[in-house]
Amino acid sequence: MLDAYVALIAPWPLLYLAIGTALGIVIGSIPGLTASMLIALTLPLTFQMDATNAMTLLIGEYVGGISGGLIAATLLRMPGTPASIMTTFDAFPMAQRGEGERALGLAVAASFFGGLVSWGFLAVLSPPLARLALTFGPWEYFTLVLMALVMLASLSQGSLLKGLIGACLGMLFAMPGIDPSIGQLRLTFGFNDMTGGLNLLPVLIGTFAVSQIIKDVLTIDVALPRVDVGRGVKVGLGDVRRHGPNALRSAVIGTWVGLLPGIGANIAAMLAYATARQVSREPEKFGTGHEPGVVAAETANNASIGGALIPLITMGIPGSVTEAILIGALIIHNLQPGPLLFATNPEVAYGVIASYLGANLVMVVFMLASIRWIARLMYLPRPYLVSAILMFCVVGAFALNNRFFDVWVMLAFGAIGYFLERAKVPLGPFVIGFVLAPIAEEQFRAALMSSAGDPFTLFTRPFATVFFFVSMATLSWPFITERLRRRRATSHGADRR
Amino acid sequence: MIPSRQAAGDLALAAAVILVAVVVWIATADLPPPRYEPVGSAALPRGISAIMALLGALLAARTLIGAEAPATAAGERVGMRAVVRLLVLCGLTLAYVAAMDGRLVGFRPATIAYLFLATLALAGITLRRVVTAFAFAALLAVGLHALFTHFFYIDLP
Repeated sequence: MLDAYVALIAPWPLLYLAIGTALGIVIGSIPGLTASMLIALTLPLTFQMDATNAMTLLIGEYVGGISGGLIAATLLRMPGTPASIMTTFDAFPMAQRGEGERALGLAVAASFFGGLVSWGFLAVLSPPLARLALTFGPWEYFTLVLMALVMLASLSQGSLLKGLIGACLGMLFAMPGIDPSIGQLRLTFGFNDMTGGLNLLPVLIGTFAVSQIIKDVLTIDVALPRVDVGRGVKVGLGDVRRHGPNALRSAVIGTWVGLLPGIGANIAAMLAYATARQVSREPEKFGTGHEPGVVAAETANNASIGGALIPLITMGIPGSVTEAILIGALIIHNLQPGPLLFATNPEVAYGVIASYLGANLVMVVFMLASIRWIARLMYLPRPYLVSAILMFCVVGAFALNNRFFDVWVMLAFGAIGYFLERAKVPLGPFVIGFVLAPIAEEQFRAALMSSAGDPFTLFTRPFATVFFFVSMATLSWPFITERLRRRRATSHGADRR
Repeated sequence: MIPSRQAAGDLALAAAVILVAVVVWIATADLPPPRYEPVGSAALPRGISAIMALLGALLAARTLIGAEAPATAAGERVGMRAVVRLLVLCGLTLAYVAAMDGRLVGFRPATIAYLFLATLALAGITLRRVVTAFAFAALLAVGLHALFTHFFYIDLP
């Protein structure tokens, strides 16, 4: 494991880490551009790179992207990324009363602390979890994927029904091509290009980048108000004592929420913020420019990244949609995501852990040193940005296999992604359904083959049984709570009479 | 009372979902039955499409009886100008990709033309913007071509 940290301080990995983190901060700070979009667009550029360097670059972009969102959230009340929504509640009022430097400083320090704590969990928990996952068989993997999809569908924004529709649609789009179990060609509709199925990269770029661009074009006339950042950031060692307990609690919440599939950084920030307000002696001050609110939100949203990386590298299960893109990176470099990654390519698995620590260190240095200049990037002319990004999308999709079929697929999924969002169908279950469907099918059919077609052997496996019942409980929970709510409403009405 | 615009959108979504499910069901009808394993190639696509058709029907039913929860935030109404701008950008993008796919034009001239026209379509036309958009398009197209072909070794059209 130590080798991974030593390897990180070589020139090329350090350069990729610095470039990735800086790019992520810049993109994350610009409203309308997201870390997912940046990572999806960077994937084609990593083809020629070593797998470890590629993951270093992408992890840097991820950390930078989530952290960069705090700049616009603080100065403009426009979260640069969804993860920074809760940061706007207190950071923006602080900036409005002239404490912008203080708000930015607290947010950057909180982000760094959250990243450090979740790195600790990532480093300590990943190797034993990977060893445990090696004991998993086909039933465990199938039920784990089922649980991830159901949790993602139920915990994403919007209704459970639409989340499940999104997941099913995503899984169906993964079906064309060659059957993973017996090699049978299916659902190609006579197109030769469909023999290999729909590639992950054009689907990801289309769903995240192109659909986001469509939304940005529709709001391109919205002018951003001009804000002065002052000299940069203001934070001191006294803040460790003042905000330490809150930050530690929020970091633990963020890490564990990030660990659960389907729950992203914005939910982690929301839970940490709500908890901080609940235990505070001054809960009425939250939302008015209260420092603990900024600390709770930013600590948790960065900590969730480390938490989400745990299931990614130990089991190959994405904790959020950004992790789904990182899985795509591993696949593109001919690596099999999952517990075997620690055995067959330990330099990549431990490299991810080391890169996460490195990215947090680079992020805090960049942000503290140059935040007032980064803030100016928010005002880059959007027409130039949007057209350039769309062109990058075309080039990126083409570069995968040097064929335009992938570009057309990307454009089609851009339209599909936009209309799904308009219909309030969350994109998370859709993309993760697409990524996990081949795994789910392969494991399900292998499980049935090994049990001579008897599905009830699932219940002879303890972990598989637990995952299965968690899935069923998650599916039925909204109906149970709705029933209980109606019963309470009826009994209240009867009591009043 | 659920806003009718959302109800129409939900019904359209339900119809689209059921249509996709039916298409997949029909397309998997010719797949051979399982021979050496219990389920076969058609099982999962058909299973998922059946579940999806059921979910679509449920969505339609809940929408019609008014049980589907309203959106947490009302959808933004966009102006006609923004829609026209989007359509122009879509047309330019499709033409850009089709021109390169049909080998009518290479990457550099196609990208210069695309970036130039797309930037003007989004930003509006003034003399200053014409000059800056052209410079931006030319620099980016030539620079990217050099980067991809000489540094990343990725051939562009």
